[in-house]
Amino acid sequence: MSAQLKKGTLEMCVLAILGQADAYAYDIVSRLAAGVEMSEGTIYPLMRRLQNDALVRTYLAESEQGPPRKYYRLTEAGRRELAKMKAEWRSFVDEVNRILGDDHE
Amino acid sequence: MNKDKFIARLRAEMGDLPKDQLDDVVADYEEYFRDGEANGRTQEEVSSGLGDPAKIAKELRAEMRLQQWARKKSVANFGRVVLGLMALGSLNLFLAVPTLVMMVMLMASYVISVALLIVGIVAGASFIPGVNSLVDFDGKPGKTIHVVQEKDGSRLEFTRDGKKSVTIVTSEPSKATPDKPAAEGAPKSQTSITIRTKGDPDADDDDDDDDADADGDGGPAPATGADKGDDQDFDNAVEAVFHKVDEAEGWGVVAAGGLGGGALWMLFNLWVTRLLFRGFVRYARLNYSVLRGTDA
Repeated sequence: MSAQLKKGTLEMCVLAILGQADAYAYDIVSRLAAGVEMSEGTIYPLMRRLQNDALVRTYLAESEQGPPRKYYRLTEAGRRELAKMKAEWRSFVDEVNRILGDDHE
Repeated sequence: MNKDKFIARLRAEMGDLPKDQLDDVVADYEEYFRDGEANGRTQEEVSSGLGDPAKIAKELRAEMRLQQWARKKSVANFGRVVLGLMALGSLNLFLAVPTLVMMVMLMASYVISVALLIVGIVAGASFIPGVNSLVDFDGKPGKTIHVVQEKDGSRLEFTRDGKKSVTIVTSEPSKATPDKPAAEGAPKSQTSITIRTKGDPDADDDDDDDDADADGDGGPAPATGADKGDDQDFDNAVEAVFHKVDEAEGWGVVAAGGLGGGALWMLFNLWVTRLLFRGFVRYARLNYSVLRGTDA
């Protein structure tokens, strides 16, 4: 996946992962890493931004190893934003597919 | 780079952040290292995956400054947002020039509104001392008004006391002493009209003194006339007094206009400033998303 395409989708992917279940940073990165390459260091600036926009909130929960982990959870606003992003993404992909077209014809 | 080195460099690069925020950031990355190691990676692998601490610190700092700005919109925090963007190298000359022009225009607009306010205050100040010779507000304005009008030796006093009684006294100059002001010469004739609201504690000199009746009676205030003099002179004098009062009110209009206009203008300026700040924050966010993308 090229860098340009990744730009806009990283935020949506993180929200989508949190839409399935609450997660901590390392968990989010490893789930992303499967499909979307990213610089791991940027996860925290990104999470802070999502927090700043009130799309996610954090809480601490016990872990098996060492001190408690910081978990991220989608807020109501986050859920709405994710739904909006998904709809936009799908209509965009449909449009691009329609233009690329020839594979289906 | 091992974990301790990475954290130390991150701490150094974050530098000027408040301690609790810095500790929060460090805790995040320590947790990340723990989770990485728990998944069988070495500290070196995790830190190379995370990338350059200096770059992370810049992004985090810019983001946290925006956060501070969102929480508390002060000039200092706005300055921090600008500094953060400059550190990221995303605030260039292309934007700086129009920003500067806008700032100058806004400053000029502020100066105008402040000038209007000053005009209002000056007019208000000249209104009050100017009134001293015409209208005496002793105590609170609107409560007691005392007007003295003197012209060619004739004198008219207008007193409104606490909305309860209105006294108008006119006096004509003594013909025996035409050089002296009327106030000093013994007045030849004097016209005095006192209008008092029924129930006024001072009004118990003349006729009905029935307080029980006064409480129940909501009718018009009775007038007590005395020593009716020359009607025409009296009318002229009253007109002159009210003319002077109008003049004083003219200053009041200037004062009110200056203050009101200045205040409205100031509000407009604040509104424009707010819009500009918002636009700037949007621009900042746009920059962040672009940076984050190219960073990956």
